[in-house]
Amino acid sequence: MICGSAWTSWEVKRFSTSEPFTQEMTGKDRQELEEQEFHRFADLTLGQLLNKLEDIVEDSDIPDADIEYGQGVLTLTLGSKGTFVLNKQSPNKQIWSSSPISGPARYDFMDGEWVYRRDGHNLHKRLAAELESVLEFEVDIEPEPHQAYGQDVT
Amino acid sequence: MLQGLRFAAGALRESQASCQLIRPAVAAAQRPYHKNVVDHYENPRNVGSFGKNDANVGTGLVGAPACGDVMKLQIKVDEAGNIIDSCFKTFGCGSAIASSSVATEWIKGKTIEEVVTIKNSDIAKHLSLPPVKLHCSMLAEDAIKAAVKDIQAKRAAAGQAPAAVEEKMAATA
Repeated sequence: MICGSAWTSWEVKRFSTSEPFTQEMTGKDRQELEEQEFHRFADLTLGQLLNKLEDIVEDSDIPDADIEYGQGVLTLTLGSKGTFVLNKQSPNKQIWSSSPISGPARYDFMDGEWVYRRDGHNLHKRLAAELESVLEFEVDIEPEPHQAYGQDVT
Repeated sequence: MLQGLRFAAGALRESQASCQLIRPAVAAAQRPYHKNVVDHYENPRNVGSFGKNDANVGTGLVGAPACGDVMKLQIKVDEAGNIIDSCFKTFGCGSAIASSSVATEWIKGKTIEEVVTIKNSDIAKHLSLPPVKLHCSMLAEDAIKAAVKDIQAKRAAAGQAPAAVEEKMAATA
């Protein structure tokens, strides 16, 4: 059962209290992730990133920096520093990313985080590190602990 | 050769529907294909197929139809491990076709040890691929590695057969 106080009101609207959020939903690997769950987690991830990146774009001093989100594709342009693209790749139940620094990567939702299976790195940590190197200021795009999905909420 | 060209061409027309990612990207910003991509589309190198059961052929098959990209890249390898010929067939967008075409060009004449060092970033740079199409060059890198893995597995299996025969002979001696 969802404990209302541990979630923001936005989360409570998204997940009705009648929806089961049991231990079974944690630790799922790609094969077990249902399509509906994939869309929910992926949309939540990209939506949260959009909010944080909008602030980051404001704070940056890059004149033509921009962030766009539509049809499951998040595009962050940072002028001459390059363009980051994150998109839902629904057939694979993955989030795909394209970075001007590290190129392409594909993330699976495993144990509550998006992980690149080939080397085990985490989407949010990699993106934050790359943005920091490009923007030269500290960046926080981690999902908030109480907003973390796929984690046991007590 | 002409048949191969139609295959590649047919794939390019499908690109708007099949390359899932391209729809929103096109809506956001129209961007012409780089001339190197157009070159590989109009003059694709090495389109074709080798017999996959040939002992000297390695086949790399990567991608998924649901994603809109499938690449088959094949290599013909001599005893010393030199790639003496290569060919490809790709279903996908212009960038995917060009990436695999470039891959077959670059690997000819190299050893299988050398070609696994070819990076997707080299292919992407050569074709000036936009951010959303970096996945195509990654797929081409994967295709090369898959083809090499296949020929190595074939050769290892063939290598084991004589050894097994030797063991049997020793056991029955």
